[in-house]
Amino acid sequence: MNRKEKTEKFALNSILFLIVFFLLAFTLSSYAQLIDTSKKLENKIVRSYKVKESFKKFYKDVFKYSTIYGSYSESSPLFTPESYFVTQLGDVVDVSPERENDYAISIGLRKIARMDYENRENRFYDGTEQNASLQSNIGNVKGLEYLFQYSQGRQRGRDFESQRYLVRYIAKWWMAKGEIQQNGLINLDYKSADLRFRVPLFKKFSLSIGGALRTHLPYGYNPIDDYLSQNNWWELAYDYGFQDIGYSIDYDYDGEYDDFDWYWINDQGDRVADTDLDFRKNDYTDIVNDYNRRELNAIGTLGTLSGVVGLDFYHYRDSFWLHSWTSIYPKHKHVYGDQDFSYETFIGKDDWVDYNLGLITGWNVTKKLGVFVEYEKTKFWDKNLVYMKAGLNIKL
Amino acid sequence: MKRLLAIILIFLYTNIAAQDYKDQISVVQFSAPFTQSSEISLKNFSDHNTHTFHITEKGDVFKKENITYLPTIILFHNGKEVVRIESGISLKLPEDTLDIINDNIEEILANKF
Repeated sequence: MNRKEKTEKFALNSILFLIVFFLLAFTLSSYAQLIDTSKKLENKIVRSYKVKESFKKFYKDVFKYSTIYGSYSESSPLFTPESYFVTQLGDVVDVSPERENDYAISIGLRKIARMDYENRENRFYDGTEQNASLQSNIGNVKGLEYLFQYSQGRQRGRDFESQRYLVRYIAKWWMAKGEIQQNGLINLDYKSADLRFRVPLFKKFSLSIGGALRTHLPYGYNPIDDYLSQNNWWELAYDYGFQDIGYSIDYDYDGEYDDFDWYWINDQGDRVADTDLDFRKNDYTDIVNDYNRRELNAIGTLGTLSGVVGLDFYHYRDSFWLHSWTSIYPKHKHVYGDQDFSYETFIGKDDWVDYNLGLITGWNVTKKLGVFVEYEKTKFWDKNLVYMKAGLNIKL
Repeated sequence: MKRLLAIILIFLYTNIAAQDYKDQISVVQFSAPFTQSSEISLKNFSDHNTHTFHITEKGDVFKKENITYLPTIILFHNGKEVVRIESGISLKLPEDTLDIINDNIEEILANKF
């Protein structure tokens, strides 16, 4: 990690630290008011009692309903069909890749309230829980909620490491949220800090307005595009130690060459592809991916501060529930990282619209018939994510 | 199309707007001007929804909830009655009213985590 990356990481961590500090300070200050020692007439015993009570209350408000959990799971890998290779002599060789069992170890501390329509997936927490309330700007309880989780393991033959740290405080008139998410399975590295004023409307709506700091890779910029606009594709392969050797082909053995191509060798002299096309289809894709990864890593993480407006709605009855949320980010400012690679520079304006919206509804039309819809759409920078699920249940 | 929209609006109104005093965790005190001195303060439950209805203003709600004693306190959770505390003929709520409500709220909250 170079100095620039270290500085950026430090800046972001500082901001997140400030948010967490702010949340804790706010919580603690409400207890400090109880420990008013200005009344000199109070004797030591009373003060000591008050301090004890305050810490008891603090402990209760921060840790009550929280769960420390740890889990280990192991399962057989997904089925992959056997592969065989037939040698020139007709021998059959089983070349199926050997798969080890998938496993995951998770440890964590959580205090996240489920929305009323969410059933607890398991009797015990194991780190695989998903909570819709984390996306929306209202929770099922007011106050402090948090999740600190670390996982590592193997899935489909790939080792992974994931971390998620989230702290959210929802008060009547404001809310704050800080989140760090690193998911090795989907190559996600995301940090955000969100601070908003909120106005509850008609008890079921919540309007919020504030600012959000989000970190991201240099979205919109594709290094290989840049490279190929100035160089030939094979020059990158040379840089990676590959060499091409030309040859001609006489298909009809008439002594005249009908075609020509190149075969490729790696830096150890092994032949890795018989033609340019073969090379581009196989080894070259790895080269491109590696080049992009290296170039993007060299640019480092960027940070964008955005204005945000949110509107949430929540209604729950056993027979019908509706939960919707919207966060719109209409105005942006690049705040750290290389400005040349910011999304602002890439699209030439600072007022593109990012958003996250979702809807979860269910209706038990009769005792035997129920319908449900879940929908979430996120558009952040040039990334679009959609999730949708709908269905009906008929009990016979 | 208009008919469908009207049906959806009526459905949403009847399902969402109606009975909003029972939303989420709601502590509702049913009373009357002449029993005001027997009411309890609902300030302790400011983290949740609180309502105080007087029979002179919300007679229909008293009828719907089948209120027979004043004051009466009902704790609702998502439209369902969780606990009802009645004053009885003495017109006084039991001394442990706050504890009963708090215990029930604790249980509701514990089930959300």
